[in-house]
Amino acid sequence: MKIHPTATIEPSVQLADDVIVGPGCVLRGDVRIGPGCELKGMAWIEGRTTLGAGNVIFPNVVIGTQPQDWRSDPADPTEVVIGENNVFRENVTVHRGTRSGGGTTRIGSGCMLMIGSHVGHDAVVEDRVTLINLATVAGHCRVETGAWLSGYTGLHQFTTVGRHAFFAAFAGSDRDVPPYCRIEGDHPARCKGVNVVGLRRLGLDVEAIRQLRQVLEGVFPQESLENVDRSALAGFDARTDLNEHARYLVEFVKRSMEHRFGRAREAGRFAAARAGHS
Amino acid sequence: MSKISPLSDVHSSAEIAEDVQIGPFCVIGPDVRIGPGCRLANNVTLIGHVTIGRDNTFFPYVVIGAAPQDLKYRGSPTRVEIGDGNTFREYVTVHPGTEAGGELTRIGNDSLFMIGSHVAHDCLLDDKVMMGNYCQLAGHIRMETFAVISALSGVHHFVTIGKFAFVGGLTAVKRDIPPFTIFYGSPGEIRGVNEVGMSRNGMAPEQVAAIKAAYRRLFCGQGNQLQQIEQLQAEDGLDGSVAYLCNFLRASLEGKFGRYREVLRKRGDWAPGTLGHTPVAQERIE
Repeated sequence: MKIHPTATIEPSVQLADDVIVGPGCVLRGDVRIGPGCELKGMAWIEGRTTLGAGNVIFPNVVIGTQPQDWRSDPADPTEVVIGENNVFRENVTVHRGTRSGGGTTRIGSGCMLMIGSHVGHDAVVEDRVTLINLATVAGHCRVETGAWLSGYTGLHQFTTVGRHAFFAAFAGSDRDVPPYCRIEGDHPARCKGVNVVGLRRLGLDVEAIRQLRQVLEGVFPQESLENVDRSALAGFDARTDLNEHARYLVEFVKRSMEHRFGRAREAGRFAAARAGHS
Repeated sequence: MSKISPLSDVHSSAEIAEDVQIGPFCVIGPDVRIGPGCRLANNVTLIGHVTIGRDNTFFPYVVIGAAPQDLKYRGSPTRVEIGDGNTFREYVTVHPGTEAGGELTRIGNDSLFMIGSHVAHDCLLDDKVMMGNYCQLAGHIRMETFAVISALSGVHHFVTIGKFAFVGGLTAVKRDIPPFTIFYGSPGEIRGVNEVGMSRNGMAPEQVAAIKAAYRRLFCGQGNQLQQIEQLQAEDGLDGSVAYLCNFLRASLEGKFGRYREVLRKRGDWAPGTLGHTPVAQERIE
């Protein structure tokens, strides 16, 4: 364990044996940091925050602070759980959960969070997600495995981004973004076909990609995510020859359509209200 | 007894109230005044002539009072004034005024500035405004009470954002945003009435209904908007908020490019204290 003398570490913090803590870091509260993590310097980590093994944290990163939510209380026992081998570049912020939103902000493993990107309260970021500079994941969002948010992109709260979806720079969505697609623009976001490069890297064959393109073009005939062709969706749903990815895509769009504003996670908002936490 | 970390660098002439908490690696300059109940996490930088009221919270890496980003600025001791109960999240930047712009950047009370948002030189912000992550104000902007700007939006200089106005995410704002409206998109458009914002903040339902009716006439009606404004203003017993909306729209039409505050630029009428209010009664909604 190498700890710089100017780092401030409260006794409640648990560090694995080989953690490196650079100059000016502040660690306080029930922070647990797993083996092989490196805090390069000036990081601020607080609250009930758990980091798995092998995370690298660049200067000025802030993890586990109180959410940007009017209803949040500094005393709420909410937490941040982070997996393994993620990279947090300079100025990244990750906020802990809110009591009404489930209480946990989660980040999976193998993610790259580039400069200034943000993961809001109660958000779930799955594995191998890439957030490029200033990409902003709002509260309660879910970003599924392998999704890619380019620079200056934003999400509305409660939005779900499907697996391996790709956002072009300056894109933003206030509706769920289907898996495997490529998104451009905002208000409304437009589905510009399949994330071909991402899917090739994933090892999908030409036939599978063709089927995904067919579904995306059929379901979003005008590109806008706001205009879903319901009859086309029902048609694809009835087919039995879809591969597992196309099937996942169809189920995803169906789930999003069931809730208001095309956001499946809005269901969680009403569950919280019914439980009396709102 | 103030709790000041020994690792911070606080100038001996800074005026700091007794119970202020200052975390490690903060830098506080000589001309800074901090009111009671303020909390500064680590790495907060307050330099220049900065006056801060009570109970403000500063998260890490906030920088307030560093020189304005304006080529005409010649280094005078221009000021930042901050009221009570504001929250400044990580990486927020607030710049002081410029000589040509009134020498003052003012922030009111109970506002929330989310991560990375920026308040530029000579901006005048009223109470209870909210700025989302990374949204950027240019210079000389005025935001009225309860105005909200969502994440990743940018505002052109000299714009006025009316009270209870809501700007959606990823939106460029180039002209005044009338009070009570919702504005978003690229290109941005006025898309409706901010009913949620008004009712959440305690405006009476009948007042909201009056604003909605006026909105329909002004923005969805037939004919010229100026004629609609004149017809509305001629009516007896006009709701105060509707009158405010009409005056605001007229004022915006006066300025170049739909920005009322451009008028001030032309006149060079920047004496501190005379600025910031459209020629509209500043009636507050309690």
